[in-house]
Amino acid sequence: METLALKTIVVDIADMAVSKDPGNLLITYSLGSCIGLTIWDPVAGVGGLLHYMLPESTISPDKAQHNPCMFADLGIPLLFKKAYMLGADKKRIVVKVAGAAQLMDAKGIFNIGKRNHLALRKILWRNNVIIEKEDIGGFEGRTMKLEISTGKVTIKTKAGEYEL
Amino acid sequence: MKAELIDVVDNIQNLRVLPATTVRLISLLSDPSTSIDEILKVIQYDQNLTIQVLKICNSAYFGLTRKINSLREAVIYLGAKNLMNVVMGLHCNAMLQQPQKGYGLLPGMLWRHSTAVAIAADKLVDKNDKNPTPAGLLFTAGLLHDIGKVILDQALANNYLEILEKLESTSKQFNELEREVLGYSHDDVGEMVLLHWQLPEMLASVCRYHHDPDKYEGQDPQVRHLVDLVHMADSLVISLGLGVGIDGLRYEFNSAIAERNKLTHEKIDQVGSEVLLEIKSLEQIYQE
Repeated sequence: METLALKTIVVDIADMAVSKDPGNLLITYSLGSCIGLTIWDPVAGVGGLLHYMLPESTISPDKAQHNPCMFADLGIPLLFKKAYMLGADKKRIVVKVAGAAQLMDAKGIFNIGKRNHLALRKILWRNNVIIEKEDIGGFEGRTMKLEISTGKVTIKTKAGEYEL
Repeated sequence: MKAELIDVVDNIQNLRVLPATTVRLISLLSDPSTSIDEILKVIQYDQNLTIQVLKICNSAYFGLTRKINSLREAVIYLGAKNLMNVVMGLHCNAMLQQPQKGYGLLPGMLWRHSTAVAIAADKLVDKNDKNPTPAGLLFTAGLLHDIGKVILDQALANNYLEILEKLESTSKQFNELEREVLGYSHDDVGEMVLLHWQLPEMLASVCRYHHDPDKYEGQDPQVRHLVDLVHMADSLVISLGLGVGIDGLRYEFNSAIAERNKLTHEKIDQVGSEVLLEIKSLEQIYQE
């Protein structure tokens, strides 16, 4: 019920939001093969949500310049950078991940989800950041929410809603 | 269930028929030998359409530096694909913008999905193809491929729990579960809607086979090619999560289609990034 009082900020595909307002709820809908990445610093009270779509910006450097959140390799560092600007500290950041679903595709032609997840793990590993929790794969679309005041991350699918 | 089947047929019969102008333009735009004059002759008698064509052409989406006031210039500038978008948009956008509660689609999501598939299909066309599929026809096929969802939505909502249970307990494609529970799937119903609208049969076939390309038994290479393009475009747009509801990603991708169309990861990513940007700009025009 408490979420009713929160101001909802919708994060579209290939976009992000960062906030330190305890009254904010960040939400992104329709995660298919895309990845929703939340970060949250409990001490600074800063949280962010990124909804990226593809692993590598090298496929389209011109588009990447104006739409860094479309790609893992540009969007992920930018999400952390923006959170640092609001006072977050890397040592305290809690990372949660959802998405990377896939079509029923035995040969993996449309393995965008798998490639997106691999890109994320590589970037975080290189930067010594650990994923706290994740809900990835499968054939379902997901909605992901982050409450800035508590850091609570909720995943919603067709079957219901649960805390990650 | 029987009562619902009758409802489905009734719902289709109750759909407003397409205006004669629209049906005529689809057939003109589907024929590569059509001249601009023939197209102008049809549009200029439809005042509403003329206004829309000029409005879209002069919108920020095209970023023209000067204002276009002549219909002829606007039609040449827009080209078949964009013109088809305007023509079909007049009739279908309102319908596609509606929420589809049974399918778990919020307002605007079915429009976003359908338009994204139309744009993606166009971008997946092999530029070296000697007999290219007419862009207007392909665009219309993409835009209307899921129109059956509008008709089936209520029946799906009424049988939601049964569908949900089958989604958990089986590994079948979503459209097969629709057939098991509702008697029809959205692709079956889509074919019926297009035939009701008196659109070309080949478009109705694309609707019918977009999730089951191997079931098409006809011999028309153009239908086969349209089905391939819409199947690939739909798979891409579903993967990107554009307008995805309770059916999620529960559809099979037919890898033989990737092979014969030389679809690579690089191409998928490239087209995906282009489609998203176009769809976001189009959303702005229609919200103006």
